[in-house]
Amino acid sequence: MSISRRGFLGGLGVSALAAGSTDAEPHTEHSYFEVPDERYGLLHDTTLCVGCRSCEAGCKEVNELPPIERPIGDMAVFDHERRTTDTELTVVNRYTVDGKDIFRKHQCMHCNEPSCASVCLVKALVKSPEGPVLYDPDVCVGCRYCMMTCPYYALAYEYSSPNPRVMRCTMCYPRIIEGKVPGCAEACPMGAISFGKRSDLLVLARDRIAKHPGRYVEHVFGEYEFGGTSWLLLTGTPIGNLGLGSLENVSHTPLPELTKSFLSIVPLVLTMWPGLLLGFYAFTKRRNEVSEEEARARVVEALMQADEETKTKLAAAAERAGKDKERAIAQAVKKALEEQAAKEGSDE
Amino acid sequence: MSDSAVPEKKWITPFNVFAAVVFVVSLPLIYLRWFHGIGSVTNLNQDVPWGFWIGFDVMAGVALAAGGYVMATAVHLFGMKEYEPVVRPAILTGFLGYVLVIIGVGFDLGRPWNAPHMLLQPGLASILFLVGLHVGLYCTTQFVEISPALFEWLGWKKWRKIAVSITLGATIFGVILSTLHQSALGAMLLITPTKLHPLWYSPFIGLFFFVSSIAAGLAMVTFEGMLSHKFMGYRVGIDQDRLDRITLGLGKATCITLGTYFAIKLLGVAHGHTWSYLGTPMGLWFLVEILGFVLLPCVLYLVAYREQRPKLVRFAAFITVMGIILNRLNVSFIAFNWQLPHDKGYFPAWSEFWISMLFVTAGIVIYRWIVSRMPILDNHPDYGSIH
Amino acid sequence: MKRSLVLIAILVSGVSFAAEEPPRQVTPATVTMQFSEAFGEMQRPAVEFDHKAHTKALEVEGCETCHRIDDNGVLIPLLESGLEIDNRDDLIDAYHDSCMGCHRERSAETLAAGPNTCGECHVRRQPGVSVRAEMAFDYSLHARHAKAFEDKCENCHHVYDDVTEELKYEKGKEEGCRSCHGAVDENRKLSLANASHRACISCHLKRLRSELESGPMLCAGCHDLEQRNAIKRLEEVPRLVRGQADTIWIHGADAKTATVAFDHLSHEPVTGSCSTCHHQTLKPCDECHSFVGSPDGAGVTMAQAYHLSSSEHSCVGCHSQRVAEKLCAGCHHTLSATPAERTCVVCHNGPPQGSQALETAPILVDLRLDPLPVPSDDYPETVVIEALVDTYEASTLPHAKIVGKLDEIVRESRLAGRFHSDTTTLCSGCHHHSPAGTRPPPCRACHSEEANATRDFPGLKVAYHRQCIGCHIAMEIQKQGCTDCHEARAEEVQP
Repeated sequence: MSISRRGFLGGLGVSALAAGSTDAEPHTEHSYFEVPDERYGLLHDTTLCVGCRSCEAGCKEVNELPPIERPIGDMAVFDHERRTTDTELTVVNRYTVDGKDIFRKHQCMHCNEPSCASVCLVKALVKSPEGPVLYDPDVCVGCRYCMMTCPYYALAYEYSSPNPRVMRCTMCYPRIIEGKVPGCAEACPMGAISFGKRSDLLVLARDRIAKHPGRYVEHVFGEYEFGGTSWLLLTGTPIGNLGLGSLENVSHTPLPELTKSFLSIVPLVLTMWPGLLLGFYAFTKRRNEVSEEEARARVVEALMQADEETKTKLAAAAERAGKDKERAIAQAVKKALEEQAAKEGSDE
Repeated sequence: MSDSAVPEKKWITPFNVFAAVVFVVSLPLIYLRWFHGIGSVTNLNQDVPWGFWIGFDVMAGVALAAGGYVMATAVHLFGMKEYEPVVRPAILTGFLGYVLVIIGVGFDLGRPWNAPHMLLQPGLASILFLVGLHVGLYCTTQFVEISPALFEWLGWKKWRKIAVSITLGATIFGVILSTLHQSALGAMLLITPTKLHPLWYSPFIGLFFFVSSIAAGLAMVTFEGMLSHKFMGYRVGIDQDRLDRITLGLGKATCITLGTYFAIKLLGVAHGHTWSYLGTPMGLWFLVEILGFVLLPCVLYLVAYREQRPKLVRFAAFITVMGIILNRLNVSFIAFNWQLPHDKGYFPAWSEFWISMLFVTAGIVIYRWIVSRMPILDNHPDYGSIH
Repeated sequence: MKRSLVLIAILVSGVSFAAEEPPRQVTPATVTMQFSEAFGEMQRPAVEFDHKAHTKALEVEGCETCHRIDDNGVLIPLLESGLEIDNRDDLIDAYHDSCMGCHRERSAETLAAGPNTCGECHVRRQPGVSVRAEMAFDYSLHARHAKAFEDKCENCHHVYDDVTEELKYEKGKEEGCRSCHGAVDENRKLSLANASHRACISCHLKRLRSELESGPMLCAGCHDLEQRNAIKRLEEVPRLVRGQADTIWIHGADAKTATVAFDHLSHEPVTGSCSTCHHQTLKPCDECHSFVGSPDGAGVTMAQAYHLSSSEHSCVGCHSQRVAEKLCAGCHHTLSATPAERTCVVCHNGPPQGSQALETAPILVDLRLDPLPVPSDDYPETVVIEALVDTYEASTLPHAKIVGKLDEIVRESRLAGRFHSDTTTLCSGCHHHSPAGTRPPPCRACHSEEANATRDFPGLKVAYHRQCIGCHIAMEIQKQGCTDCHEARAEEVQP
């Protein structure tokens, strides 16, 4: 193993550092949000709503927002389906089903396990033990991830402000902890909004269904949808006809559960990747070293072989040279002798 | 070292004029955005909170800046020394890309000055927290990985030595961070099952984003290698031949990655039993994305590698980059909120395109400045050859 | 980079949102040919046979091109002999020979012809939604037929004699077709569709050819909703007489409650046909719905048969539908669907079971309703509601006018008259949850002024609005806006 000790320890250190910066892994059985039984809720009975929009006016007054633009009684306001905005924390819409007009108030549903609170990276949105989901604009960074995840399209943003906030129904938290009732519930003349403990409201809702079986769809919307909401709905027609088509028959699993599978991978990667990658590095390094060694060995061998060859060649050349030399000497001697002989012959 | 002479410094070039126009027109837009709210320069509405800036600057930006960790892994961890010449440009692109992502995010955030709260009271269940934290850490890591070039340029030998010694650790840390935040960007959509179109929504979306980021990184490295050679040729330390060989190699890798990506996308459709959606208009759009911008470049890469055609590799890289951008835009606001009626739909305002263009142009300008001075495309004479 | 942005823009603008297509409608003149019993699993999709197209194409040639008319003049649907073919391949061949044989002949003569290839008849497509309306007789249509047959019931009505295994006519035992003929053919007992098509269409065809006034010949004539609703109705429909009594005592076998005097004669005009109540057979209810329930009555007990408020055929069920109508709903929409116990005696006031008096038919007289009192302190002409005056002025309630209107409605309905014989019942619609009497308690006696949205016991504001507006909505009275009942106060800024 040729990875240096320093390198190995360094790799471990990286792993420890990485593991230390791990995000808290949620325990899969428990939810993020405590849901005490005592918490408040609201029940909206759409069969009682007449579209007077007193709730909108009441909400605006309590939250010190600009007053409603179209007066109560102006039915033209219902010609287009409206959604909550940064100055309208709740809206009433009209839906026509089988020729009849049905009205429904829409606002933040104060989910039991809110996806908005789960995705907020600065914990600006939190689920209070009293029930409402609370928002702290002083820590909000304005990433609007909460708006992306809300399945009810209930959140709005102050796009025209240089210091924008997320605007949504607050369930009149300051009022309810004083024992008062939310502004909309107080304003509604038809009693289409009931406020109280969520568990009590569920009993009330079931009671109404039992007393008037023909009037209601036998389902309290919000009891279990995506883990349940604090705003409950009683309707005389399936919820899909009242603008909540994408929420019809949804799973009862809370939305934050859907991220748990991914979040549980995080610590796995943090602990496994260092070993894995160091392994690759070590493997590659070792392979390089081995191939280098082999290359070196081949060079040495080649050199040695070349050496041998050279010696043989030299020896052969030397022998040849020697032979040549002898031959040359012999020839020269012969020639010299012949010349000598010739010279002696000519002298006589 | 290239033989071509250093060109004369000219201020009036077509690109410089273009960049100047971009900067100048951006000034009033920047003013409007900070003093009159995001709504004054975007078409974002209450139903569509994430638009072009998030889709392009953040999501596509992070994916396309993935070349840094991909090349660093290839060269430092898998020992593919033949790609050494493109490691530094890739890491520099990655680093600048992430810096621009951070600036882009800061531009899109409503109250960016509250960002420190992310560390003071983090929402640990939030995948965006993971993204934010890792993007910050990764940017730092990439800076560490590119710092040897900076120190070589400054002549700070001791600092350089320190930086080089922690390169391995930084590379590993960078890969860990990248695996997590590239996939996290996709996983952010897991919590919106009713809003993202079923063909794009899958429990495997994190995996899709991770694998496609590898392809994106490789394609961008190919792409900018070509651009650098064309426009900054006088600084490039390798010849065209060597670049072509690198390009072909990158093409092979991208081919395999895209093929894998295509296969897992199909698995996602099978897993979700969403075949019937393919006949709808959005389904056709999905097919355009995976057939025209994933399968097609995969095939082109294959052809290019077999026939040894670097030009075709570059063309395929361009299509791949377009495909990644398209996928990220789809997931942000085209296939997201797909059920909204037309009148509530969203199309980016020209000012959104312009600001994004500002970031890209700024990135190019800064890249050019760095590359023309520091040993990125070539090596510092004191520190050995990149060959 | 600019180039790529333009490309993105083009691509993005090319996106269109998914639109939902409406389901495919299958017209009444389409016969979907499915024979899963004979064929087992079908290899090809069922053929949707367009009868209308064929009748149009063969108008001149006539029905006999495909249909056989037997000795009794009954028109037999094509391939009725196919009912006896057991073998799958032979059955297929029989159909193919008939259909394609004819098509080939006609193509050979260069006439307009149907398809000859597999896929053109066995078309693979999404299952459609049938818009075929079910045909049913009402009193008017029955009367017209009876007149045409000069009241000779044997022309249509028959019973099946098990012993002789033949059809025969028994006077006084005429039943609706549905009492025997079900949804599918059972051996020799034809399905309702088959039976009625043979009986009705053959007769209509005969009359048509004799140039007499006749009923429809084509599918749409009976099964298309618009055409069916356009069938001529008699102004005065004579009573359908089948030996039924005008009034009877309802005393089911084994029942122990006080018997009920039932005015059969008065109930006939308010139903569309006998089967509204006699939904399966004209036998008395307790013959199938025994005291403890029996398989004949699908397990529905006698008590349920008469009292189930969700059923169209029970007494209480039908009455519940009546009170849900506009004129009654104002008060009745707040009441529970289950009738109050004090109303039982309105019907159950006959002699006890087994009594001699049950042998003579009851005599029912309309109850005499007391006139309304003269306006006084106990029964005010108007009531000024000034508690809670805030954004709006006090409201003046036209008390006597409202009660007078309710009184008028009750007097015009015999059903209402029976249940509202005591005038104080008119008070209970608004003065609810309190004993009926001459001076019922005012709303604020129980509903406090503080708005109390925490329980299902509304505060005074909600009580007023829910009561008044709720009634107006149910009775479709267009007084539902705020200023319809109380004027806005001038000083207050209108929200």
